[in-house]
Amino acid sequence: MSVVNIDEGDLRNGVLGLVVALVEIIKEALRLQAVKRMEGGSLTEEEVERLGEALMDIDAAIEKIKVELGVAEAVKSVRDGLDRVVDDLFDGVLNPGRWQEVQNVR
Amino acid sequence: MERSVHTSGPGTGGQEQAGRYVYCVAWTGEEVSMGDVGIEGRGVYTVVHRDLAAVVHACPAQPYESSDLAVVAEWVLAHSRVVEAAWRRWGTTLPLTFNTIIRGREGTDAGEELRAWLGAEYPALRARLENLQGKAEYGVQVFWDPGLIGMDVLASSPELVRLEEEAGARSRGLAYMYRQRLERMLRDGIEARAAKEFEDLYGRLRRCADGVHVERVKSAEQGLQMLANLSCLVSGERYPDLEAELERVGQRDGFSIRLAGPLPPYSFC
Repeated sequence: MSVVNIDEGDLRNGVLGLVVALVEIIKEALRLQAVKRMEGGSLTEEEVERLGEALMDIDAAIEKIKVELGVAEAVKSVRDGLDRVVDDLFDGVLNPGRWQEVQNVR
Repeated sequence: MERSVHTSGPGTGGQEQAGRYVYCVAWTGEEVSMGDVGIEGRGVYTVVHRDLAAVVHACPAQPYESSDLAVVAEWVLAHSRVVEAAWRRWGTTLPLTFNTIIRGREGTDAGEELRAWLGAEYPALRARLENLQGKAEYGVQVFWDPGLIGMDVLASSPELVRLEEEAGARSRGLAYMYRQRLERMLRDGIEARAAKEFEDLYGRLRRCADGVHVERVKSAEQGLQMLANLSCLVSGERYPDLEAELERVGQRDGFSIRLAGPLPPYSFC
């Protein structure tokens, strides 16, 4: 029987890293939407200014949280892991030849 | 997990000899021992059918398995060393995947089973070997410096230049938004450039190779981004063309090339 040892510090870092990584991703989605609206021309200059200020504040707040909690590394590893998952997914979709190879091996 | 090594029973071979680990099939009728150069120092020898030889070692009829990556890496290295030795010795070879093991069925031992397999597959194996004759595989990796390419993309688009100027002149929030927009457009521009460069490169290499496989690009290292990771099957006569094409690419600003080979044709059999 194998026993999984969980260090409490690791667990805390892992969970916080995951949460902050998700917040970052949501922020990036918001920012993309904001830029698209600006490009679409549906915002006044004042509105763009306010959006920009708000996004900057969020950037700063997230950076501060990362430093205070000491989870910058954990966040990075969650995001790198997600990037790899997405890469694999796209590789499978865009490269049916390789997908076939994987199926054959299985 | 460590593999347990049983000693074989005298004469019979027993469990220890119940499988044949096959490294590759070489185009030769030479029945020969290659010495204890196999995985975990096993004795490697050829099993011949007509003018084809399977390069093998005798082992238990079970795959090599370990959760220790260093151990697996050592096995895979030993595998490729044997394939390479066979390839250097006999020229044309069909490398097999790591962990290809033939085992005997009821009434036959693994050696007989292997001979039967060579016999049954002879026409197909022979055709594939003929196809690979005089050719070798080359790994081609093309890198570029995204910073340098980015500056070039920026300079060649008046719209981006204008955005950059505007981003500097505005108030704090506006500047931030303009900078985001600039970065997005720049990224799109670099991606479009990468797609165009890749297509161009692929087309050029396709003309001097008998086969080109597109492998996955690996993540950036030392600030250099991998633009293309290709395996090319190239004949001796056309190799200078490949070299010339790559040299031309490597001389361009921000581009660099890594060429590995000649290698046994792992990706083309």
